Amino acid sequence: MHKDGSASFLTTRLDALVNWGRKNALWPIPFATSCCGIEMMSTLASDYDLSRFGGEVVRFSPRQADLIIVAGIVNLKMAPVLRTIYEQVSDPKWVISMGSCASSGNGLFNVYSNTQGVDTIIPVDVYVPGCPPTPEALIHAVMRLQEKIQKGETYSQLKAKGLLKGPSAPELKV
Amino acid sequence: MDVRTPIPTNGGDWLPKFLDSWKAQVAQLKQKFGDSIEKTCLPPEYPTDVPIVYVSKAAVIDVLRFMKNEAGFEYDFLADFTATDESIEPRFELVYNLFSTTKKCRFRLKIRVYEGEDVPTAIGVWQGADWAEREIWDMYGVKFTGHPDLRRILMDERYQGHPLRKDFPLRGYQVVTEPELAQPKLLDYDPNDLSAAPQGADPDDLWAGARTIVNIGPNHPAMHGSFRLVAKLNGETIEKSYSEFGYTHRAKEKLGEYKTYHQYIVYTDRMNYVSALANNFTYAMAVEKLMGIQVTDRTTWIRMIACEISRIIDHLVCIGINAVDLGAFTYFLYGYHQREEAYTLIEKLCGARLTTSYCRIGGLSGDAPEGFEKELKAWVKKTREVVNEMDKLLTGNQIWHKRTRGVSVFNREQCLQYSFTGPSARAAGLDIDLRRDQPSMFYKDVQFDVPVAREGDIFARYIVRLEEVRQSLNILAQCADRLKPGPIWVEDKRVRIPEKDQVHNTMEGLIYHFKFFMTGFDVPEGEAYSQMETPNGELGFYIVSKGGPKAHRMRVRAPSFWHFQGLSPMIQGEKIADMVGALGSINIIAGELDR
Repeated sequence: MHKDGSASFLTTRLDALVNWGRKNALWPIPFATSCCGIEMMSTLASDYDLSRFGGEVVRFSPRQADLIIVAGIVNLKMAPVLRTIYEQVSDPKWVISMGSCASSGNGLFNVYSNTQGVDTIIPVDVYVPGCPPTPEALIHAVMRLQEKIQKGETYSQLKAKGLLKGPSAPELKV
Repeated sequence: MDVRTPIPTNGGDWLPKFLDSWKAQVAQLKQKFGDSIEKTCLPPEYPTDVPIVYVSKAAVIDVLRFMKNEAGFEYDFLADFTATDESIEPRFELVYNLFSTTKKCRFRLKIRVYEGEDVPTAIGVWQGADWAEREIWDMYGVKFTGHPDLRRILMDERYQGHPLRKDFPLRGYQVVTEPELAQPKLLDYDPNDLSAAPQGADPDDLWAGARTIVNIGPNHPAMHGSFRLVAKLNGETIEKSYSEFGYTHRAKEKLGEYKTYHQYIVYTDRMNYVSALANNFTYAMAVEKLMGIQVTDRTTWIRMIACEISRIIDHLVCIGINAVDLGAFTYFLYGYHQREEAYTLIEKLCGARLTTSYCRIGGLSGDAPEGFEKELKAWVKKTREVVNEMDKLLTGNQIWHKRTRGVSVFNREQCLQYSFTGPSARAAGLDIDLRRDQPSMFYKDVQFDVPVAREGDIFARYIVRLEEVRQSLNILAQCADRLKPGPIWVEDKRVRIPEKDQVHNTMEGLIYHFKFFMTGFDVPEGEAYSQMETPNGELGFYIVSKGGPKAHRMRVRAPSFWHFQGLSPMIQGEKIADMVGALGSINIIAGELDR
């Protein structure tokens, strides 16, 4: 393209173009259960402002979203609910597991009521460590996810290309 | 302090104030109920903070009613109702923690129950006992006769066993793969039966007897956290509703029996995570009360500062989110920015934003940095301006008035019935503020007003919270003036964590450090209910110690638990859209609700 914008074509692969569009228009559905939800609200509010990275259109209906941010503990009573919501989000879909509870059950809460990480229920693309993670950490995670989407390396994209085998999501286990 | 010096009783300054009236009350109870009073334990002979009276199971409701209504007793407020598992028969002890809103005095009733025995329900005395009894059934398996709706409350309905029993394993996982569905039957509604006669002449009535069941949650933007409300609607009017929670249950009470007192500090952060500091210090005060520790002046002032900062944060979040729910988005951003500034202050104290773990038993994790007072004062000044700006922005707004005034009214009598505390109770004219009525720390020495409203609607709750932010700012300014340099640790060998240079350079220091963190410190036998006015209301820790480094029972009296119970009666007869405002105005925090 010329500097004055006159001649106008770019060569790219369709895949890259589609992924570029996807990564810059993330529509998150917050699955905020506990402490991490408050930090996620901070991330979305004016001081940290996630919209600078193309991810502020928070939708509370799974049908309108493509990124699930699991913020906080998912216990055994909640696990089937999360699984249902995951299945309602249309493909391609991405999952960020925010905080120790969602990522690993948090060493603190290895108890009768808890799952030990949401990856026992749904596939996760990016894990964010911290209890709770700072807003910067969540923004970093969103940017990491964008990189992954651009490269086509997320679970959903790999599965669509047939590069993954097995069930659509792991079986619920502890 | 030498470890061999006798430990003060955990009654603290209540003893001289109330001991005579307690003695008179116990004598009167004995005279009135005779053999039904099985045993009485009075402080200071027995290691407890308030008198404990063991009542026979059959007479307990009569005793409760008597103590509620009789002049001279006036224990009209059920502060907490819980149980303990003693492992030997009679296995369970049910504990009623009573509070008198007129005399500001506390009392404890207990009944002993064998395994498999039923207990009469206290719903007739206090409506609010409903959920507390359901929780005891869920956690301990004690049944209540006459209870209208004895279902599980925190665990899934399909769960087997009662987790807080001593013989239940800490990691007794049970997996369910299907979500629990809403149950219209609980709303006296059969979706297939449309023959019911029309009720009332509502213009929205589409079809005689036709009702809509709306399920909101567990993951819904109007639900701040994860809980569920199922409502039966006639047009848009809520005829009946019930709520469910337990989707964030993390077994913190069970963990209290498995962790040492020091290790448990981190769990208190994750209860009310919007004001974690207040939870930290309430817990520390409960353990200090059991051990008879008096913390240093500087520590107390810093704790007060931290509590008031967290109160402001909590209120700003609550009213901000409440306004967002009703459509005023910008308002929320004003408060949120100031909250970020407060987190900068908190980070200076302890390095963390949300889950602070700032307290230590007998001290703090670190001193306030140099120049903290100055920064605090600057923040107070700025926040005052912001609050005034917020006030101008919303308080006079016509839409806000229309949405909140006279909506979801919860009056004083209902507040007493459902054990409401904090701003929600004060908005209805129930004038209790434990900072003023049962002062801990140095609240006696600072000047502040307690805002009280009469209406009990959403607007009253909003305006009380807004005014409390201003009062807290006043307290902060006074604290900043009075914060003097000094030690932050109490010189008590039992709880003092050795300094790092001792740990690295001396043998004794290293051994002591290792012993402290690996085995913990012993807390003398006894029990205490320690309460504080946290942003949401009365937060209480009821700790029963049998000696040793771990608690026998760690009960958390969370204000949200009692407030959420009041939601269904509060919204009955209101429009479904007003439910959102009502829920936001009582500020339910899921971590505290489910524990």
